[in-house]
Amino acid sequence: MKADVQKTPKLVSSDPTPNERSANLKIVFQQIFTTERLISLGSVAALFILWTVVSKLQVVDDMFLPSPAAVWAAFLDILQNGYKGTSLFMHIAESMIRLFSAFFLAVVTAIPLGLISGYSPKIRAAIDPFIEFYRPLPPLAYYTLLVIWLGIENESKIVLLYLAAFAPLYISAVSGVKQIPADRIHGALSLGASKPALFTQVIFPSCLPELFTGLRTAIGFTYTTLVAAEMVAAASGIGWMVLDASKFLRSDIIFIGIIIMGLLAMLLDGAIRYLEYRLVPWKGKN
Amino acid sequence: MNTSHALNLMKPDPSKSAPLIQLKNIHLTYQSNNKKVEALRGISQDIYEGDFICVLGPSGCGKTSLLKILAGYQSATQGEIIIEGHKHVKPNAEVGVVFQHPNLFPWLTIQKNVEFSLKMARVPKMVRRKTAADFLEMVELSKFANMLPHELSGGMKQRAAIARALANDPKIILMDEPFGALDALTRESMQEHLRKIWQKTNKSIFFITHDVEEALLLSTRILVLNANPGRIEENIANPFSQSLLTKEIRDIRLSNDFVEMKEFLVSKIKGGPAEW
Ligand SMILES: Nc1ncnc2c1ncn2[C@@H]1O[C@H](COP(=O)(O)OP(=O)(O)O)[C@@H](O)[C@H]1O
Ligand SMILES: [Mg+2]
Repeated sequence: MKADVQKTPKLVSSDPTPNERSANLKIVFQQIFTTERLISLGSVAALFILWTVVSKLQVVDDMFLPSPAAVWAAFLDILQNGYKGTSLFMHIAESMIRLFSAFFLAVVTAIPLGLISGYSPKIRAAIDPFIEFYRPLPPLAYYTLLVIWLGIENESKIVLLYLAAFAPLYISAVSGVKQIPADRIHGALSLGASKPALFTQVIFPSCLPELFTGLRTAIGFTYTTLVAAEMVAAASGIGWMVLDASKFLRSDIIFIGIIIMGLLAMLLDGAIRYLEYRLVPWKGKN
Repeated sequence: MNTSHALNLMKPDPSKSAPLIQLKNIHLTYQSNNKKVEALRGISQDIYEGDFICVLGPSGCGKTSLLKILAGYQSATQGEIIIEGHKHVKPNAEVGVVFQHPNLFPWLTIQKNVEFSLKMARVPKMVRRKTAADFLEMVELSKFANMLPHELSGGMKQRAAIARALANDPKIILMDEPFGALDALTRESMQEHLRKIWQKTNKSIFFITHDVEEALLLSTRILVLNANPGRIEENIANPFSQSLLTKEIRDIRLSNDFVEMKEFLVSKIKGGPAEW
């Protein structure tokens, strides 16, 4: 009976009863910890346990496989004291500055150029040969040339990363434009769209789903190139830190460096996916 | 067939003066890998303000090709489109189009879709909003103004597309089998909507369909097109256009005249129902 009396005001009142609150929490919990996520967490935990056990049993030498404790200690050490006179934060920041300045330049040039190329076969014909030639080249092959031209500092790296990001972005923009249905362009013209408006208000947003795919490819490739470039020629950055540690057989630093690299990459990809989710809610629904 | 009846209907309406749009002897031949396809031959028609013209014909007879020429998406091999005295060669805001698929911009809300043409014409924001709201009300979509197209049903999207074309205030709206992809019930309610909208706005409409009944329930004039090459087979004023405004649709549909007219049109469409 009492429950019945409570039911009526419950629909109106906005304050959840303790019972409701725990039910809500349960729903939120279920949404965050889906079965699949729990399995993922489990398999990561299993690897971690395996790692701990193997290093405890001393199956392999510490130099090849440092213990989780040693890696954690190395992390705390470089977090407090930095690595070779530069703080961990600065190493990461150096890498990210290179990555983002190159990426930004690539986005603002490759995307407009790709959109125009997608629209005009003549402009595409003028640009495509260069893209097709350099895209399959391993970036480190022409990095040597860039270092000779621009030196070992950030300039050569930014140009290298710019080139790495440019091709996938340009190609995704071209293919995005090619995939726009003719009726959409026709429809926009019949609604009075001028050429510039057609580009900014119809062609560009039409390509957003493709562009985000390109962005993810580009950031992955740029990141790989960044780490490789820092290993070839640099005096700072997370890639350099790992290479430098290897010269002194500091496998604990190598381990923590690689873990940081991996987590950073996941973070970058996650950020782009989040942006995509916010900006392209219609993706796959038309 | 009762020829006197049909002949009578073919007389032009004397109450109208200068045509709004003229199709002058349109020919179209497609050329694809050394093969020529004659899609349209000698299509001529005057369209007056407030006309609701239905183009009826089997699939492949050139209806869409004719619409594309009218819209300016495609140029005729011969002949021309004249709108109020000047040649129409490129798509512009004078000729609105509603496609078979709603063709809304998926990144814009329904409201923003309807506002699109006004934005292109640099209409101030407040006016834009008001106009779009009015047309959304006309197609009974006010409640869905802030949703994205993919959140609406097919019929609702098509109504939004009609509102978008209306908001632009073109001289004529071309529609290419706009209800063809909808289920029968939705199609009927859409026809009803469109009839009301047309009465309210008195827009000229050029409507393509392969559904004889749809043509009879909407138009003021019916052009029957036949294939190979696409040409006008029959050009008839719809005898029911007046009663559609006053009588119950159900009653019209069941009347002997209607059934007879339907049969007459079906017989004029080459190949008959089996082919389309
Ligand atoms: N782009 C094209 N190239 C070659 N032939 C075409 C093209 N578009 C349509 N056709 C041909 O023209 C004829 C008329 O087509 P269409 O206008 O689409 O007819 P409908 O809309 O009445 O079905 C068909 O025979 C079709 O195959
Ligand atoms: Mg067609």
